[in-house]
Amino acid sequence: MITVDYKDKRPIYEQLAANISEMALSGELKPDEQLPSVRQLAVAMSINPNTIARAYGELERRGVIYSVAGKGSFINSDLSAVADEQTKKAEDKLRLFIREAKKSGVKKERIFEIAGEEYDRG
Amino acid sequence: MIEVKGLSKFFSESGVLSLDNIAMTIPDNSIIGLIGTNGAGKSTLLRILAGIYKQDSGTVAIDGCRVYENNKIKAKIAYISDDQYYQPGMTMKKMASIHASLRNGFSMQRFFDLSARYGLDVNRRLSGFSKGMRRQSDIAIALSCGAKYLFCDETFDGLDPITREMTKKILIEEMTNNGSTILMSSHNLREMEDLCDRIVLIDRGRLVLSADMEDVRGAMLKYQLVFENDWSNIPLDSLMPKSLVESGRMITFIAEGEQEEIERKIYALAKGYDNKIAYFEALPLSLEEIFIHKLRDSGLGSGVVL
Repeated sequence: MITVDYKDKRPIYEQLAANISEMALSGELKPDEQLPSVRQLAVAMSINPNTIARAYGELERRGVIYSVAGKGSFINSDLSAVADEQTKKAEDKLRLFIREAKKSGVKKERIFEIAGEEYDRG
Repeated sequence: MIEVKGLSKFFSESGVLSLDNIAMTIPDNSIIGLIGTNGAGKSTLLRILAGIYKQDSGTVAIDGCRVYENNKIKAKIAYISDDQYYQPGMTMKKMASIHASLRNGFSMQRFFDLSARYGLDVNRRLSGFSKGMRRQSDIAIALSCGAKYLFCDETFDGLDPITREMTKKILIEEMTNNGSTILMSSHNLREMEDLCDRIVLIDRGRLVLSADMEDVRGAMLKYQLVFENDWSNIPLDSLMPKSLVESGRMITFIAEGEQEEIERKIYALAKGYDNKIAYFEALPLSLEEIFIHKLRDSGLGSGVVL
């Protein structure tokens, strides 16, 4: 389900784009599956239609969706570039956390230990 | 489209220049948030746009035509005042029928539908309604007028959270299905931030800002950084930082301009002074923070600390 969190500091269009992108990568939205129209989604979610259009524009730019004139927007079948981008972002975040942990005095062995635990968990 | 040029309004009895040379353009099919401190001129601007007040100088054109004393254009406008008049003993339905008798585009069906959605009994007297219920009645009537332009003066601000959500939904439907343009003044900046495409900020009669919400957000950001070594010799002044705060090693400030440009300057400064950036983050500001900083620049709210 597409959701937005009003407590989130990111703009709504950014949240929508990230949300749909994640759903496409996880397979919740299938390749070539049609997205609701801007108007449908705007009314269903009580979000300004211009915000939805902006999110769709952003998703198209990132290669998550493609649009067919007169038909609507669909999930791209090849999301490898999007997945790579996502992985890179996750790695950057991980690096930042490790640096922070080191600064706070967490030992190297302990970081490896936690990494192993968390990776095997899910 | 609404085009305002050189608009000024002076109230001689109070000696107040309520609007001072306002110029702005509002595109169709959008939701615009009109914000500003109390007495900034928001209500005066809405009343001139609705053709109730006549400006002293400047022009207001809606769909290319003058508004004041122009019934053809006024038929396209529905205006909800923050101070509605009700004849004693009048029911909600009677109120709607008065509007219906004055407006060709009025739909009683739409009025009944909206009243039902709000759970209002149209046969009840308006004098027996609470303030919030009267607001809901105003909205139901305004949206039944078949108007392309809807001007709301702090209409949202007295509604409970559930009714606000419902009203938001109704306004989005109105805009999506009928291509309406909605201009609303409000003090609830968090809500404006999520709902509006554009923001118009006025202060003591002058226009401070009229821009796309995303451009507003992108033009001013909060930066957090940590230098690896002592930074006291680095002239951060060149970034024109606002509200610079140092807590521990973390430096936080607000700067105007493109994020990439500021980021590039910060890294260049560090390099030029044989220092390094250990941590860097650019964060978006809330509309409330932007509001306070913009007004501080124009001389108001200088005592407010963020």
